[in-house]
Amino acid sequence: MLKIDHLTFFYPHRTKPVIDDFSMELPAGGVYGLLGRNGAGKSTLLYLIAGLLTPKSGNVTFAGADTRLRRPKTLADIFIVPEEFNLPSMSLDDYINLYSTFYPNFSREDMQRHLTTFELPADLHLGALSMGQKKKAYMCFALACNTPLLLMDEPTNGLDIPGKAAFRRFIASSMTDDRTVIISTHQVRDINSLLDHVVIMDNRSMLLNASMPEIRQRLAFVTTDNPSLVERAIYAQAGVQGVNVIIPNDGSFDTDVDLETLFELSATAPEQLAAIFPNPQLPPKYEN
Amino acid sequence: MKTDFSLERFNRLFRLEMKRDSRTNLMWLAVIFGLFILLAVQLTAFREYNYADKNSEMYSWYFNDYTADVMLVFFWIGLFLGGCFSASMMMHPIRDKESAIPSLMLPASQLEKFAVRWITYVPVFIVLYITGFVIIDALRVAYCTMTHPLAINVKFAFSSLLSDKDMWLASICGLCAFLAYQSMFVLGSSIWPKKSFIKTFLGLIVINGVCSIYFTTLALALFEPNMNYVPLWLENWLDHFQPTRTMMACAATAVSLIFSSINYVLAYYRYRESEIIQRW
Repeated sequence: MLKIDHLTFFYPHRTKPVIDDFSMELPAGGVYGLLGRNGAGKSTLLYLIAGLLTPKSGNVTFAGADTRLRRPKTLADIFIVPEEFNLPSMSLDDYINLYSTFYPNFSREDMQRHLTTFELPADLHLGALSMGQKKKAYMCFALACNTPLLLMDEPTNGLDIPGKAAFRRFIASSMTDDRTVIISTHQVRDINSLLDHVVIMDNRSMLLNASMPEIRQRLAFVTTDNPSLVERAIYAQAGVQGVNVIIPNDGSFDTDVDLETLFELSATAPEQLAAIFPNPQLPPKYEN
Repeated sequence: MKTDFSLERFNRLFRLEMKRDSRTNLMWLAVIFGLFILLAVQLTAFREYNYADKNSEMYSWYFNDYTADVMLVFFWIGLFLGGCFSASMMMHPIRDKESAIPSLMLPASQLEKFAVRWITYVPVFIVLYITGFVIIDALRVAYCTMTHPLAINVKFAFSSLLSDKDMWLASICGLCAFLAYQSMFVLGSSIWPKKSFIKTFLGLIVINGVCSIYFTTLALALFEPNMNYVPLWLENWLDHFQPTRTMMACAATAVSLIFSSINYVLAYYRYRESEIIQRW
């Protein structure tokens, strides 16, 4: 289990915290989406979870261990795919031979399978790849390490359209009951169908922390021209094929979650969201 | 899996570091080799002495003593400059966020990661440097012996070490002084992984300047107006205690090694707390 306990973090020379008294518990298993505007603190939260930043106060524990201590056992259980990274200039085979020895659960069969998913050859040289190809190769290695916790920061940035589709297949095919994947992104359409749980951050706090079944149970996402539905809606946005509305679900709707519209609701009317998903994390001004 | 130090994991990490940085390290070694070869060639091709009387003592002195001594001087200059530059590259993997993340997230303890980098950029550097210098010096001697047969017994740069106890002592002191000086760049590399050499160098200038001003002011305050004044207790101590050269060398060696150790420990603790952002 990942536990974040009253975390506060300041960047150097800033007076306002990026993360302010943030708490969250994520049980093992599932794909969690960490959504928010640019500058909301999504990437910072991922780096704090990985132990790459020192919080002003609070701590993050994974499987009972403080991640900031960066003990080898904890590091072997966590893999982070950052938005931008450097890879050494060597062949993929050499990279696997050198780095995989540090991850006890690394599987070469899984590595080969993931490379096939992304249509990458096994005899790559990492120094000769484009950014998108490097990202694919690194994600293949990340998943092949089979770490219980996988953190991904904007994983679809830099991927082409087939790559994004491959990414969804890639994540879906690799999920197990004891693996937790946290994906931080503002490209919600790329991961809409993958997520089991959604966390929306804004203004240093958590606006929503709910599972997809729970969201489907309480909200309906409909595209309609029916004025009565539009009137009932807690959020409405004109679209090409009608008005995209979010209405409280009285049990008569069974719709897919439209993350983009949900995100817009959280940004424009967070108090409406708070009324449906009571959130102890939310500052008083957002509550009725 | 052991927590803080595992020899097996350390070996794997050492292999990884060697392989990952092999191209960069070989390139730097080639640069240093090339510079020393140029230097050795320049010394042997010193035109003035090519036209001198080849039977003269001056001709022999040039090849027996002068070039050997000059090579020795350049050995020390190269060791200090190269060693400090090498030490400032020690934390190069965490110079920016993109490089730091894979490095810091590698499942090994911070002690193991630091130890691998320290071994590569301190003792391994010294061994490689000395080995490279000896090879180049041997090539210089062989070349001079073949091309200038009248220069009797062209000396190796380190030949005086084989016969002179004082030279041995001086060399050991010099090596310990080098370690002390280099350790400041090791610490600087931990504090400023990016542009470490320049920042550490400037930092040392500032510290030296501040210390000079402080101690000069203190000396003036204590001993003015008579700058020849020596306190009686100091005078008595100097009269009774006559340190030998060996004692002074041992004391200097001990102080250098203690100073180096303190810097290495500080560097390790700084590295242990490193983040992917630079706070100061």
